[in-house]
Amino acid sequence: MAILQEGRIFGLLVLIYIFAAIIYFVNRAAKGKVPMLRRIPGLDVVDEAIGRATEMGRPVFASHGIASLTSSTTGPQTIAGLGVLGYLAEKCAEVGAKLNVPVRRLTVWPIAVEICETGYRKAGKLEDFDAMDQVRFLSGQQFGFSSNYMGWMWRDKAAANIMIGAYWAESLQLAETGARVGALQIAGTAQTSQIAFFVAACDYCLIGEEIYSAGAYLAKDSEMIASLAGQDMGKLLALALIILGTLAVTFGSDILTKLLSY
Amino acid sequence: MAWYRRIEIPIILTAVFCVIQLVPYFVVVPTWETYAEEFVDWDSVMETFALFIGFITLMMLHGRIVSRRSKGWHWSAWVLITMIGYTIIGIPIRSIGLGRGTELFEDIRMFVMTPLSAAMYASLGFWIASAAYRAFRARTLEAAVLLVSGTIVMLANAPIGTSIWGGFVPLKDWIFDVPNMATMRAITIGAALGALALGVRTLMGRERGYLRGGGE
Repeated sequence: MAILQEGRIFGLLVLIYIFAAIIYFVNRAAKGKVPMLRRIPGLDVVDEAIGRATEMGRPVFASHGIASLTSSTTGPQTIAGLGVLGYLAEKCAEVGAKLNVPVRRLTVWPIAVEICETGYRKAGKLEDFDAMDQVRFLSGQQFGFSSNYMGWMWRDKAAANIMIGAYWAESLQLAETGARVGALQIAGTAQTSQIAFFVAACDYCLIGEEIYSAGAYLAKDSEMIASLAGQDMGKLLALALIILGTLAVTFGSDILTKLLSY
Repeated sequence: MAWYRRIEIPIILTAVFCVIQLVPYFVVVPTWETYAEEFVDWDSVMETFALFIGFITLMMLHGRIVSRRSKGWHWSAWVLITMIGYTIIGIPIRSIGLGRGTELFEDIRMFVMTPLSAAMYASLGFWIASAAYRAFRARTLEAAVLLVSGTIVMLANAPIGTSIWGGFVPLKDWIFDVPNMATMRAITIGAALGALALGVRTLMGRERGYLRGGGE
């Protein structure tokens, strides 16, 4: 009787490899060898967007997408969005910009409230935080959420709209509304079908994997930055497999296909 | 700080439940698989309990807006009326025609909520038009490439395009099958690896952004 699930052994080996790479780079960072992180323009302007909102006396909108935390494919995007939310809450509290957080998932709402509360507490401005008013559960329905979000941005004349997470058909509605109210927009998603909309309608766009590094990038946490280098080792493996696969198929061999399905 | 508010507790819980889900994916352990599936069902239970939180937060938020007569308060009043009204209609008392599955409940869903959602989805056509206008202004090289490729794809899809020149269709196919496919695959592989690394960081307790913003 097989101990390992058939067809998933190669996946397990890849997981162990990435796990080991992350541990290696995190330990290396603990010794002071922190890898360089390339610049991500969309994240470099976050502080500028908050500063702009403060000067204009208008709010910053921060959304972490519409996916739940438990989905295996889109949940990580929500976690990435929430990672950015903590930074935004602290910065907004520091400079006195109002932060508005639209929420679609009820199970995420208490988490978003707590993240914002911690951000305001860290900045020593807890008294400025109004959970009920600032972190709003809008609707569990996709378009109920988007129409609420659009109306809120329109009424409050958002100065900045930062959307990082999983979005579907509502992505363009939100991004276009943000553009029409004159908000500086930074958006990022790993949903390939929605990236084009964000590129077209937003000032800055984080594409795919960039959203997962956003938290580490903004927090400037050396261990988290180091873990991104571990992720890059996975990319190197993917690249090597693509080259080997192309060569193998060109020379009529299916050895790699068999290996991947092992 | 109270012991139950220590950040280590959610980290341990996350790691334990991650392992419970991860092991049966790779290793054949039938009993474990049953438990893993059971835990997935817990999510539905939590979502149901969370409905109460949603109801209460909406009541408090919109109740406050109405009581203060804040800007747009009448919309909040409408939210309260429809929410409370539909909740009452959903109470399962079949003898007086209330509850899920009854004619009144289903009619509201079918003739109000469904058309409203469809209308919102359909409005995307107009949003796409305004976004296309913004994107297709050839101010940069990238925008110019987008303009040219977008025009070719549109002409290949529209009957008038193919009647002008039959070469639009193979050109469109090439755009989709070569540069577009290569880009999409690169993004997908990168995103998948990013999600995987985030999962590993979460499992190791390194990713703490979702836990009170990483703070105590």
